Amino acid sequence: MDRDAFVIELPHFGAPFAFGMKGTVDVVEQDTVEHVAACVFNIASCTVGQVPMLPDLGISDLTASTVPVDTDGLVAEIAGQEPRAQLMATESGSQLDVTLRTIQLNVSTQGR
Amino acid sequence: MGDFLDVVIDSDPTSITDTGIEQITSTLTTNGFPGWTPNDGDLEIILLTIIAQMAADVASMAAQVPAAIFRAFGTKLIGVAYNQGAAATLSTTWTLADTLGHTIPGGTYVTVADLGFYVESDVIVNPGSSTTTVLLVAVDQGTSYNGVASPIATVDEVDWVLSIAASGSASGGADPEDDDAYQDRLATELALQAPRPITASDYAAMALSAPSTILPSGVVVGRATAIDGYDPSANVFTGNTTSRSATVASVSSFVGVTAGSVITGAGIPAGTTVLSINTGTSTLVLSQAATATATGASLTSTGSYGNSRTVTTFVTDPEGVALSSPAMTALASWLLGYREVNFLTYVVAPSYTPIYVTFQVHCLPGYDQTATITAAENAILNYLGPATWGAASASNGGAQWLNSAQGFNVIRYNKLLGVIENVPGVDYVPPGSTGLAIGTTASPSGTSDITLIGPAPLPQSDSTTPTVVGSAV
Repeated sequence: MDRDAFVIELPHFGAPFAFGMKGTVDVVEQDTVEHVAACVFNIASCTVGQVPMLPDLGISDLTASTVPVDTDGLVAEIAGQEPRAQLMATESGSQLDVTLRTIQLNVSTQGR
Repeated sequence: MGDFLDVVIDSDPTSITDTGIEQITSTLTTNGFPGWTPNDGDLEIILLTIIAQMAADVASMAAQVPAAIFRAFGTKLIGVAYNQGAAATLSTTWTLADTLGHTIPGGTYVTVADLGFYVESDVIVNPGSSTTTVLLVAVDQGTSYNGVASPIATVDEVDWVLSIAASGSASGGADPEDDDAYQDRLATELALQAPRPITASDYAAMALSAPSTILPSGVVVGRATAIDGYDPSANVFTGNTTSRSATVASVSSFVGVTAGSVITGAGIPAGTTVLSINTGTSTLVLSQAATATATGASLTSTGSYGNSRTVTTFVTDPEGVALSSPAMTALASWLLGYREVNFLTYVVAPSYTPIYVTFQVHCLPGYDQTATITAAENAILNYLGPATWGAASASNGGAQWLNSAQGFNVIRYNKLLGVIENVPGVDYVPPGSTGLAIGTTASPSGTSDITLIGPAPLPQSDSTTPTVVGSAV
């Protein structure tokens, strides 16, 4: 196979899962910041125990957590599962509903 | 034991996941991109584990199928039921605290050595009595209940029961049959259901299914028919014949002589059979009159009917041609192996009678005269061919043919007329022997039915001799 014919050599699904312009699935190159960010997205999208065969995958259920959210604990939880990621979490709230919280995770990688 | 169908189905989700990962890695490596590594956070890995779990569930069900196949085959098709097992029973003596009279309800639960038992049915203790015998039944089937005897206690407090003592120990419990044990037993049951020819038709069917390994190379049994009670053996006896008389007197022996037996000898016309016998007067009546008068003439009777434990099977190849003697001997030995000792199983060739037919047809306008006559000749040849004569059933391709015992040994003149007139393009057959003549010799002139000789006769006619000749009128 012609190596030059591919932009992505070691593909992984991107996140969120999407189809590109040509109808192919969006993929990211292994070990790039996009790949690490996709893994963080997937981990943060699951709660612990949600995937039966990967029972430790995901984050704790934040539904009943107190405000402000323990973002340090959240970052540590994700980092434990994705050690390639350097994470920074910022929390913001809604003026209409104090129980509605938005947590933004910024992902970077060192030396990648 | 019971390992009749060994199907290895991987139902471990981890193994299925690993297989998927290996395939991705292998595909990329093969295409020149080594180094792909899975990560639990990758969406494809998450999806793969979920799909693997689903696949494992399906595989687990599939792994049950081999046993289920035998279960359904055995219980539904063969009718061999699973042994359900049996519950152990224990006879006990109950001593009551008073003599007022009580009823121990059926279904009362007790424990015997911590195993569950119940009272089989209501037990009435009449007033004045303080003891009774009660049969306990284990709550489940199995041998694990056997042998227990004590301690015995009621599950629910019954204040008028003073004590319960066992008479011996529990027994009779049997485990339900598991799949392996069932399959072993099913194999034994099936061995007892090996094919056995019972009726004459069974013999013909078995002869047609004879394996090639028991026959000489290249021999195939293509047609068969069988007659129950028919013994093809020949027996010689003496008798007095009188010219122009069908009665044979002073018959020396009637062994192997029955109505239908073929009689040959000096002064006996060909194709003569026995119509009736009279052992009291030592006479028999033939189907044709003798042509000579003789005292103590040596006569031969071939074939007899009504013999017990005797079946004769007549066989040919697919074209209706008789098999070789070694082939028929081998076939007889093979058939005999399926019956008990003292059964007589014969395999012989049918008798052949050449049939000659001449006919004329008037063709309908628009039909080719020559082609129509050829089609009519072929129709007669097909009807009278040993490969198709007396085809008993369309379901077996006419492999079995109807024999004399079934009343199918007559070439019927009108039937041949019908065969000819059913050919497209034939308008009519002129009347009398001008239109159709049949016989057993060349240049026939007969317009009567022809009775074929022998117990399982086949007509012979061919286009090369020829025995069927048509022309236009």
